[in-house]
Parts: sequence; structure tokens; C-alpha cells
Amino acid sequence: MSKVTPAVLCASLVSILSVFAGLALFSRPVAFSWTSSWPGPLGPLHLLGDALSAVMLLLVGLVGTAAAYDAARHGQAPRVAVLLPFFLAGLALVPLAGDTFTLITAWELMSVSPGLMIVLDEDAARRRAGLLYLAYSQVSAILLLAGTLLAGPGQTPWQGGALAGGAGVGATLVLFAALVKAGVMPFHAWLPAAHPVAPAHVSALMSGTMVAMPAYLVLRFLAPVGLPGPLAITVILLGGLSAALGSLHALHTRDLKRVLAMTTVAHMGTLFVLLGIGLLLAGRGDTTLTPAVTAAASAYVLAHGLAKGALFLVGGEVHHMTGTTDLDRLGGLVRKAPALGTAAALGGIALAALPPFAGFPAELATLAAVFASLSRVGATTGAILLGVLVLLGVAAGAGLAAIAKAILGVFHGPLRSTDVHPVGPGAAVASGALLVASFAVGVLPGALWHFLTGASMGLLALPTAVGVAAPFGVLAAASALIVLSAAALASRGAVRRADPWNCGNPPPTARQTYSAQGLVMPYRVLFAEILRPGSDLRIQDAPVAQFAPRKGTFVDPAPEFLEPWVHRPLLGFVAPRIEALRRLHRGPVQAYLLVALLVLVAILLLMPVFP
Amino acid sequence: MIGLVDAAAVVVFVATAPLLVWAERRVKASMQMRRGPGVLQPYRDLRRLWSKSPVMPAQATFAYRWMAAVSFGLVAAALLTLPLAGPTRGSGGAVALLVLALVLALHRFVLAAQAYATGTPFGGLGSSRELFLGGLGEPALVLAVAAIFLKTGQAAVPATTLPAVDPSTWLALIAILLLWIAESARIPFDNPATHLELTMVHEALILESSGPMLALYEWGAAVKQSIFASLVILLAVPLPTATVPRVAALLLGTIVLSALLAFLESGIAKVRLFRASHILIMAGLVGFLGGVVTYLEGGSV
Repeated sequence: MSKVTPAVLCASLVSILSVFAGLALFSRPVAFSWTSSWPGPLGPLHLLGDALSAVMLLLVGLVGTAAAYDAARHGQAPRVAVLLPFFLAGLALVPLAGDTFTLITAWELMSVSPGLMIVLDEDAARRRAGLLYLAYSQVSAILLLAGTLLAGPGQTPWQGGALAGGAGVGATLVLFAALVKAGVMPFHAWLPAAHPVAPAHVSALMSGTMVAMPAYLVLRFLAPVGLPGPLAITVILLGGLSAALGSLHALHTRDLKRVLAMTTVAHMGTLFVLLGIGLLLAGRGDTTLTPAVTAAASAYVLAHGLAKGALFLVGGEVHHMTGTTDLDRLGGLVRKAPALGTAAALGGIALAALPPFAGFPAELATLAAVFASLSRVGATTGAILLGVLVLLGVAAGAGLAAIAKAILGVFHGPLRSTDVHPVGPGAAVASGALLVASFAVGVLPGALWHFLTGASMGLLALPTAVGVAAPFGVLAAASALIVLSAAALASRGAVRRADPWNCGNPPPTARQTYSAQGLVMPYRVLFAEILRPGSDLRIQDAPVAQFAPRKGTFVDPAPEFLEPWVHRPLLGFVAPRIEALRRLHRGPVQAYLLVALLVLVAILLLMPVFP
Repeated sequence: MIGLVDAAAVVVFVATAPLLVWAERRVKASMQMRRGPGVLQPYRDLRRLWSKSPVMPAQATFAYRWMAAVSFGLVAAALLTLPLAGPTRGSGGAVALLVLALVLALHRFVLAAQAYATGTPFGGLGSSRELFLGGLGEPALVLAVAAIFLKTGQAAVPATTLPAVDPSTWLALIAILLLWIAESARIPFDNPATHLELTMVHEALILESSGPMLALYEWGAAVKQSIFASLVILLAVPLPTATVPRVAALLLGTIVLSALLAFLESGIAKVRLFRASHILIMAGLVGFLGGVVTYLEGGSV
């Protein structure tokens, strides 16, 4: 640990403080509230904290600590090192912000720091991804600023309440700020581009914790009053679309970190289906399900963040070992790093929301809340929700396959890399720690929910409305039965190793076995209409025409489904107008002053309208 | 929590699961003018496999060694989510069927992992197909459970059977039946009698397994059949509430259902992989229709 720099120390300090703040907030009987004695730019600053903030702080703190460990382990470029503590501080401040100024400041700190880390990279492709990320995140920040200013909560400081005009323009703007920041389709083009190019520990924070903040916004400001029906249904449909398409794209994608980023799009989709259902019902005045939705959503972001953080850290170690994250070039790494391989497999199980990790109770609560909403709506809305359930089913099935292909393809099967940089036993410490936390939540979800209910505000209540009981029995019985059958298996004596039977063929070489992409070939064939897989075979050395190639490359591009229809036209529309604005910016000072004057006049004219 | 009665029911169902395999083989044999195996033959097979010394492929990674035990423990524990021994028994509360779905998904991951970990092309093939067919079955299960939820107010097997006159009951049952056929790797999804690389799914997964490990996989597959057969019977057939007659009736029902399925199976051919996926997509749509029809019946709670 020779790379413990002041920046790493700051980052770990912020993270550890977040964990303690989160735990402290859990045990408080009433909500925490603090007002500065000095005046801020828009009046004194406020902080607030309740159970919802506590979940977010806990998530930021845990993933942040693991990220700081990873940074110390591998060292980091100066630009990353300097910005990391700011990034973490922004992440920890968003769920504590008690007024518009603090929220926007924290939000920008959180959004801009990772963007700068990527944009300052030497690599041009990465810089482009960073700019794309910054553009989308600034759109989100502007929407949030406009939304909170237009329809800010009535009271100052916020009492964790709803936006004043629940159904108005302000609420809609905040909603879209959240959708863009979460990377819900069709606003997702930046996410699979930017999340993988950051250093592993920053990716872990971006994909594990930063995407939780839009959900926090929705839960904090929109959930108590809800949204009008059509808007809420739109959120549900976009969520369903993201879930299914995100998982299918994850199947198709060839890069380990990009697969993880695509599953983030899918998980955000599922999360926004859940949030959308809460908004729909609350908008109709039925708030009976709001506590269940809030509890399920916070459990979901916690579970997702821990698992995604762990897997991104594993991805970083894989890159460290082999110099690549291309799935087709990886295989069998568990032979070189057994601990890391174990962490990867368990992380995959956790990310797929399977027992015994935190995703298991979260997924149960999520599905139970979706089911519970089915009997609270009419036939038309019910049919839409059932259709979205089909999409969620596809997302679960394809998502498991995508995670399995990445984990199995990289770590199992024959070793495909010739030159593997050895990693020490420390490689699995950070991801392992996150998985231990996830396991604790997974087997003791009752404890988490007890914390949530015991905490202040009553915003989160035990989801009795949907009757989720911790399925301890099944898990305990499964563990007992596994131990029993393993003991019986062990009693049959030591295992002998022999050549595989392989249907009588000689032992296979690495090239004959299934690669990660080969594993999901059936999906890619079945969903070819949606995934439109390309295949570009270039033969470089074929002395006898093209029939006896000696050397060649095969590229298999994975185009985004919605990118040509949403992202490209949007870019085509915006780019020339931005260019025009830039001319104004660089142009004669008179024009500049004229614009400033016009804006001032407009503000003066509008003042009677918005007192 | 799990009582002794539940534990005993699990033991009984695990112990009798090979009988389903027997019923299936017996019916198929008589359809082909053969005599068929005796009732103890599946048990003799298991004993023979168990008595061999364990062997594993030379290049298998460590994930392979204990996965037989893990997969067996998971399916056996999954039995607990069903009210086998009494209408209100079982574990998992109001979300028991969702627990069942997630435990079976973990089981699928474990099976796929051990097959891939053997490092052979056939293992990869089985792993790939299992993830494919199993994943496509997920919407069918979720939607069938949603239909059950709409009718009974809980995502668990209800204390009484679903009303037989409702079309939605039938649609949900058809979805679960199709899923059962897919999950137990039977015709038209897979032919358990062959080891042809063009067709095999379940057999490819356990192709490299032998001896005690193969015994656990085969037994686990039988238990999985028992789970789906019990689910269908519990939803469709009124059963006694007292423990012993209920378990006896349920066992008899699963064996009869298994035989019936084998009878139907004898008349159809296996379809190729990409047709099989269409059957599963259809199962998902049937489940979706089941849910929608519940609204039209006006019976939603």
C-alpha cells in the first residue's frame, strides 16, 4: 500500500464519514435538520437527513471506501486523484441537501467531477465519451435547477416534502432530470459510453452510486404527491423498455465493463418501473402503496450499487491482469486468481438479484409492489402493467444470461490469455467487502427494514402492504441441504481427475470451447431484429484467393438500438444551434451586451408574473 | 417458519421424486410396445451411480467440484415454497412463488456455471441453451404468478384451488404446464432419451458428470419435475387438508400427471431450438392473456 496519497486519505475519510452518518441517521428517532448561521447566496444553507438519506449515505460510504481502497492499491492519475474526494463529497451531499442551492451545488459537484476525470484523459475516444457524459449530465442539471426553482418545496428548509406544484411544469422538469441522469432509455446514450472508460474505482462509483441519486430525487420530491396518469405511464413504459433492451444489449456487448454498464441501464429501467407505479398511484390519491414502493426502491438501489460496485472493481482487476476487457480475448482467469474469480461469481449472483444477496429481498419487494399495484388499477392500466411485467421477465432472463456470460466467459473455461500479470490476494478485498455487506442485507433484510421503519419521517414503512416476509426458511433449508449433500459427496472419497469424455473426442483446445459471446449466441439469433448484429470478417492473408485464409479479423459491432433514432437526430438538431450560440459568444462585444440587455429586460417584464 | 411437518414433507417428496421418472419411462415404453422398467429401476440407477468413485474433467475449474451438491440442495429447498403438507404450510409467505422463481433461477445459474466450468464444447453448449430456454421461460412464470396474484391477492399457492370456470385459471395453468415441460427438458424441448448434440439441453449440461455427482444431478432433475407437477396439481385439483391424505393425494396426482404428460409426449416430435423458444414466448403470452382476462372477469381483488 505504497500509494496512499493525501487524495486517497481524503476520499476514504469522506466515505467513512458517510457510513457513520448513514448509521447515525438510521438510529435517530426524528429527522436531522441543520441550518447555517451564516447567510448563503440564496439565504442560509440547510441540511436534512432521514432514513432515505441514510440508505443513500450508506451506499455512497460503502462503495466509496471500496473505491478508495482500490485507488490506493493501483494508484491513480493526478487528475483522478484530485477530483475523487470532490466526487465523493458531492455524492454524499446530494441526499443531505435541504435547500435548492445546496442541492444544485452538490449535484454539480457529483456530476462534473467524474466528467472532468474522463475529459482530461489523453485518449481521444475517451475524451469524446467524457464530453458526451458532460453534455447529458448538464442537461439533467439544468432541468433540475429549472424544476426546483419553478416548483420548489413550499417550506424552507424542505421537510422532505413534495414539490409545491406536484403536477406542474416544475415536477415534470425534475422527473426528466432524473430520467436523463439515470440513463433510462432513450436518454441512455452516454451511460454505456462513459461508465466503462473511467478508471475502475470511478466506474464503480458512477454505476453503483451516482445512478442512485436520480431515484433519490424522485422518492424525495415526486413520490409523496405523484404525477398525472399519462406522465407516470410514460415513466413506466420507458422503464420497461430500458429493462428489456438494456439486458438484450448487455447480451450482445463484447466488452466486460460495457456489459456491466448496459446492465445498469436495465436495472435503472426496472427501478423506474417501480418508481413510476408509485407516482401513478400517488397521483390518483392512493398513497397506500407509497411506503412499500419507497422501501423497495431504496432496497433496490442499495443492492444494485453494492453488486455493481463490486463487479466494476473486479473488471478493473481483470484489466490489470490482462490489459484488456474484451470478452472474446478472456477466459479461465480463475486459474490465476481464484479469490477474484470467486468474488466475480458471487458478484454475478448478487447482481442478478438471486439469493442470498441483497438483491433477493429487493427484487421480491419490487415485484410484490408491482403485483400489488395490479389490483389497484383498472383493466386498461392493468393490461399496460402486465405488458411491462413481460418486459421485466425478459429483462430478468436475459440479464441473468448476460451476467453469466461475462462472469463464466472471463473466469471459467480454458485459459485464453498467454500473458497474465499476477495479482496478489488483495485483488478481491474491495469487491469481497462489498459482497459481504450485500450478503448481510440479503440474509437479514428484516434488519434493514427495521432500521428503515425505526428511522424518522415515516416515509419508509415495513412493506406489510405487500406482505414481504424474509424468506429465511427457504434459505436456511437450502444451506442445510447443500451442506448435507456436499458432506455426502465428500464421503465418496477424493475426486480423481481425468480427461473429459467430450463425446469421445480428444481433449478440447481453448479455440474449440465456447467463448463468452458464444454462450449467448441463441439470444443474439432470436433477437436479431432488435440487436441487428453485424459481422465484419476481414481476411488479411489469403494466398489462394479467399478460400485458404491464414490470418484475418472478425469484428462484430453492437449498434445501440435507439441511438440512430433518438441520440443521433437530437445531436443533429442541437449541434448547429450550439455552434450559432458559440459564434455569439466569440463575436463582437456589442452583440454580447445586447443579449445581456435583452435578458435583463425579459426578467424585469416577467417579474410581475412570477413574484 | 418451517416446522417438522414441512421438513418431513420435503423428505417425502425428494424421496419419491424418482417415481415420476419411472412413471414417464413406463408409459413411454408401453407406447413403444416395450415392457418398461420396474418401479425400483430409477432408485437402482441412483444407487449404481452413487457407488462409483468420483471423477472430474482434468481442466474443470474449482466451480465444478461442489456444484452438484449446491444444485441439489437448491431444488430440494425450493419444495418448501409449496404448501405440500397443508393449505397454510410451506415457507415464503405471500411471495412464495416469487421465491420459487428466484431460487430456480439461481439453480439455473449454478447448472450453467458447472457445465461451462468443465471447459468442454459440450458443456458450453448445454450452458448456452440452458440460459437461453430458462431465460425465455422467465416471463411465462412471472405472468402466471401475476394472474394468480390478481385472482387471490397473493403471489403464492392459494389455500383453495383457483376457480375452474374462469378462463384465466386455464391460461395460467397452460403457461405453467408449458414451463414445466421446458424446465424438465422433455419433448418438444429436449429428448431425454438421446445424447445427440443437435438436440440435447439437459444432457449436455451434465455430460461430463459421472458417479455420485451425476446421481445428484439426476435426482435433482426429478425433484424439479416434482415441484412443477405439484404446483399444477395444487392450483387445479382440490386436495384434502389433513397432512397424510394430502401428501398421498398430491404424490398420486404428480405421478398420474407425469404419466399423462409422457403419453402426450409420445405422439409429438422434438422441435429445433429456435422453435422451442417460440413455444416459450407463446407461454409468456398465454400468461399475459391470463392476467388480462382476470380484469375482464371482474374477479380481481
